Amino acid sequence: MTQIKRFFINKLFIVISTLTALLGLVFLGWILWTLFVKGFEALSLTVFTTDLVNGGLRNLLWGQFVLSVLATVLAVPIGLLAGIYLQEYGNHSRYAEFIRELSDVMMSAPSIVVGTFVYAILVVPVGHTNGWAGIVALAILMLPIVVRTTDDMLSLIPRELREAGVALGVPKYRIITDIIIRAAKVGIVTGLLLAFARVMGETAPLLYTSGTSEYWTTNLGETFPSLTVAIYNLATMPDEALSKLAWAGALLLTLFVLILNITGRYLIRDKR
Amino acid sequence: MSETLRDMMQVKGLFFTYPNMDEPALKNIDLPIRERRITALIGPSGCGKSTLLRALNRIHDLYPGCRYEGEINLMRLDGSGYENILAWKKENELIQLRQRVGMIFQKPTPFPMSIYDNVAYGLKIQGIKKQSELDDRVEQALRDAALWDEVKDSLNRDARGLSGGQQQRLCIARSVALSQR
Amino acid sequence: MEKIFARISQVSATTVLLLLLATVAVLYWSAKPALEAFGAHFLIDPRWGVEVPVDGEGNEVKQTLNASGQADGVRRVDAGVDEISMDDEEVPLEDEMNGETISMDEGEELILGMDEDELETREVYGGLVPILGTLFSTTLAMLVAVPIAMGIAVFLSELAPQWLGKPVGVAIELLAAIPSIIYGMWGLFFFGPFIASIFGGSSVSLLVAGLVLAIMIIPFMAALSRDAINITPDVLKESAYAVGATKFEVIKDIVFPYAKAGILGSMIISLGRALGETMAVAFVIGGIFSLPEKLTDPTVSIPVVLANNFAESSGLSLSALYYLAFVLFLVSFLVIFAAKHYFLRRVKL
Repeated sequence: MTQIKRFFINKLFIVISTLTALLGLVFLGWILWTLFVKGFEALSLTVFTTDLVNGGLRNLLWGQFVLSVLATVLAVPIGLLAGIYLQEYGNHSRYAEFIRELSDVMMSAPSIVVGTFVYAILVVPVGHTNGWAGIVALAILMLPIVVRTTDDMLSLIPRELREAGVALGVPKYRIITDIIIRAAKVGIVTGLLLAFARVMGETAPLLYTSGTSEYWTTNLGETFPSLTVAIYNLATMPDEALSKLAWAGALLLTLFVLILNITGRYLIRDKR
Repeated sequence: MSETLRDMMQVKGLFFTYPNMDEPALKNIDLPIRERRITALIGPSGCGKSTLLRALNRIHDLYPGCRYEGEINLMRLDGSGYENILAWKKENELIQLRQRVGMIFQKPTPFPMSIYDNVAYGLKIQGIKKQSELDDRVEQALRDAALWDEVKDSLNRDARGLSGGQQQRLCIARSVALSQR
Repeated sequence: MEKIFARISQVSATTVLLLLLATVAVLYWSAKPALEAFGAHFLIDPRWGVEVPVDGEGNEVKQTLNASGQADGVRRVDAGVDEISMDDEEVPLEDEMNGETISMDEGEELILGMDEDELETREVYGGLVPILGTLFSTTLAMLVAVPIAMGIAVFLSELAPQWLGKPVGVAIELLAAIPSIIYGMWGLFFFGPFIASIFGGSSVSLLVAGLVLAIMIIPFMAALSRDAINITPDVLKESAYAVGATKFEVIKDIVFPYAKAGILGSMIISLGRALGETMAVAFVIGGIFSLPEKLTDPTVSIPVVLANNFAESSGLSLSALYYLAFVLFLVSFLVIFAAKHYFLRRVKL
């Protein structure tokens, strides 16, 4: 009797678990489906060739790309060096452990709060939203991810490799730059790609730091076009054409992020 | 002496093939396993000892795509003849098979629970709820596995805190507990 | 050269510390006027941007609060449309709390000094609505997401055959990488109306926000939990099968206890994400300063208040927003810290 009950519970569990999985997948599939249908519907050549003021996304794509790239340029050297410090210099010191802890906590800080911080230090003094503020906000979000990635990847390098370098009489910083970073290169590059993809899709920290603009600009001291912020504004517009444009933007953003992620995966697979 | 002992299990003409393999890993195995005797398998590594053992309680079937040919006969619970365990298809039948044919692995595998619960686990899922019966059978199993004296005062400790040798005896006790009738 | 390199890398690491300290300092400093004006009472005050008459001491005049509380105790911020949603029973209760806590506040004079030309009234800001909105939407999201994410994780790691489990697993991981604004848009245009057609009410509501949030964190939680479950050694599971356990029993008694730390960690990290999420919620929660009476009522959450109102605010209202940001930052800090602490304790065991 109890045996039959056990078998029944087992079957029930398997069915329920499969059904919940299916339910979750249905909703996630629904999201992708709408995104692709609505997005491709709205996509056309003019989207790429005209600015928002003329009904295209050209300046927004440019703006988002510039903001993300410059944020990367700002965050990567600092994060890389900080990761090297944690793993190679401060390894088990309490200070390094403390920084590691803080960095992890910072990685989960709400992105909108980072936006408020940057607003106070870079937007209020200038008096208007500007590209630099957006870059700094994204860089602050990116920094802990870079630190964590570097830290993790360097920790995978076997101790023998370091010792072999020491045995040759190579100075420590040369061991790090010539041997260890090279050995961890694939992992670090992958991590950076994923971090880049992550900030690329951020909206909240840009809302009132870079703002967004309808026009093409290269002046980072001014309000700077941002695709994500523009999507947020356009999607809620009553004008059908504008909300269509928002879908086109959402699709392009998602495709770009997915391509970066898939590339990252491919790189890692290549190594193994 | 041995003529009075019956076969507990009989492996007859067994072929076993792993998933996605062309060549069988076991070819034409015949092996009687006598009642109340210890049967030892020896051989170089990779010759199929574990593969054969894992066929005897069909742990292989956890991974889809395994193929068996031949027979493995197991004596019925009442001792009246044999049933071919390879004819069983349903998951429920396999679970009941594994309650009768125990298995201990090369490396100790304590469950993430207390020492007591490790030994009582198989009994509990069989539906034994009476505390006194559980206590008795856990104690007997631990005695049989020569572990009782070492752990009798710390039955509620996490089993993963035991030493390697103790862990392995615990796993033996866990299997032995099921076979006491 | 060696020394310089070591020093530069140390300075870089210290940047993390400095940034965090600077964030806390700036948030605190910006929130200070609001902190001094409203104190801890801010956290339980449901009014936002309400003109309240004050007496000579700077205390609120109790008698008139009833009227003002009903007239514009709740204001729809984005559209400026007044709404009355406070129950009559709630008002006297408010009365008592305000009288006690505000009059004890030390920072009153400061505000008084700033508002010298209009001594008669002062603006009152309270964070209760967004705080509750955040708590409710996050709780709802976790209640929905945890069982489904666990179902997906178990399905992927234990139930699905490899040819299915692997591609679906990759798909889940990719979904976790999709920008949250996409979830918000989908919620606004498709999911919100769908939910409204089933449960009634508006297509922007606490319910829709909680569910969209749930759907957003499901892939994240499922992927992390699956990774945690996957570290359970096969041989451990096999030995449980070898004593006759069913699949359900193996998962319940062996896999979950073994992977407990990782699974709980994935939940807490997802909770942290849900708490601070802006874009997935901003589209679908309504952005209205009113306490929801039903799940299908629109309300607002802390990140959404920040997203919607920041640019137009200044002075005390901006400071009140910083107060909210500060609260959110501290809460998510604590959540993550708890998660890390739990991880470390378990790993060392």
